[in-house]
Amino acid sequence: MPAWPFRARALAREEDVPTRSARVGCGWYRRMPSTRVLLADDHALFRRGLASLLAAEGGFEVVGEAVDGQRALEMARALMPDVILMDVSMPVMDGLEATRRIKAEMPHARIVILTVSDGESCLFEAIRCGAEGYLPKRIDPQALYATLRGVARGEASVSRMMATRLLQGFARRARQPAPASARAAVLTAREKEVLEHVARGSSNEEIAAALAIAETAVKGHLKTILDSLHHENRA
Amino acid sequence: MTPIRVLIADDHALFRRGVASLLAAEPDFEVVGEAVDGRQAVDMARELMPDVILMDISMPVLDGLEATRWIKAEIPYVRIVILTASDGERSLFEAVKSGAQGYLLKNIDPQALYGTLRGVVRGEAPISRMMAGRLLEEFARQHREPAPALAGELTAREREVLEQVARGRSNKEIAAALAIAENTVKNHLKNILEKLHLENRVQAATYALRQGLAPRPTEDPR
Repeated sequence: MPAWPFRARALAREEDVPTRSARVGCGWYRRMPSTRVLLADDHALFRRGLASLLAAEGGFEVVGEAVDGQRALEMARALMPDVILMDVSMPVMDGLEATRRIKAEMPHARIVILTVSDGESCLFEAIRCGAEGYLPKRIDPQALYATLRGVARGEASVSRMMATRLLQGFARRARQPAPASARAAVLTAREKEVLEHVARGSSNEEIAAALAIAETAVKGHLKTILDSLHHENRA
Repeated sequence: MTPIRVLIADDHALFRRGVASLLAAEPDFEVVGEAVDGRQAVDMARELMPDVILMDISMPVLDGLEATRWIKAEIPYVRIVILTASDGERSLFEAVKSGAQGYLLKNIDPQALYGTLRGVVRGEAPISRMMAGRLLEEFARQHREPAPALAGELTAREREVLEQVARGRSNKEIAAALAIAENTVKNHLKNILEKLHLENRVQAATYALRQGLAPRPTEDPR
């Protein structure tokens, strides 16, 4: 099967990402090199806890811990991690600005925002800064591992919450048209349908069946939505 | 050495699991349970009889302060340390009133958490200068009722010890400052609590600040 250029997956719910099944036959993971993760969070207890969990999980290697956005940028340069897990609210330089700078300098770097804020405007801004994923800190560890693995494989990880917020953000934009000069991303009718299904908690497989399209097409639509927002910022 | 048995109550799974993972890696701690809300914390405290409970405030079903009150009423020996994202004066004040022995902000580093848990289990409840300052401000806003003349029953040495407690000093530091044994400090403190009808050193510090027995602490950036 030819490699589809877009790979994406919808997480049905933050809470019920497959965990055991993902680890069945984990010889595959053992042979795989670990996903090298850089953590950026100014709250030491949370950051250290996260590092401890990832170290115990297997398949992950925490290569560095940054206490602010500026450090995250410097450590990203020095360590070239596979994935950066980035808090938003940090001193010196916040996580969104750090994301923007890292993506401008190292477009291959994959960044997942992990924040207490689950507001629509923050998520929208994070995606526009180039983040591949956006997770609220209240998720459980299994959902975090699944997202990190997906993002490391190059997938766009769109959670149910994220789909809801994206729909809200695009709807708000439709009500307040941007100046004609701005290249604002818009949703196609099909992309909107896909997001609505994700927001309702459907899996990629279910969405494919409901829309009578291939599962790879569902993933492609999700990736395209995020890419359109990424590119909008560079225009 | 018997490990310190810890119950963690926090609805944020990632934070709770992370703290549990960190404590598990320390040889002198054992995480005996994890509760996802205050109601479960009360149930698990009854069943597991932990040495210390690390309690979040904002949780569904029953919040951490209410859970603290329930647990302290039923199992007074259990030490409770509030670990919260909120540095609001209101919650600090409420935490002290609910009977918590410690109050920590979630932005502390792991070593500070371990240190506080170990201290609390030894019967200390070190309060930071920041906490003391906040408590004073809170009390200053309360209407000033005539103070009970209890402080008059304290000896000069007890007043000295109490002042040191209100400055946020540990027993060891107090012992050094007053050139007495640490055990003597502990005994003075027991007597002070007895005379003032107080339960713990945070309440004693609060009392001292309120009564003007200790100078108002300057704000500490910590």
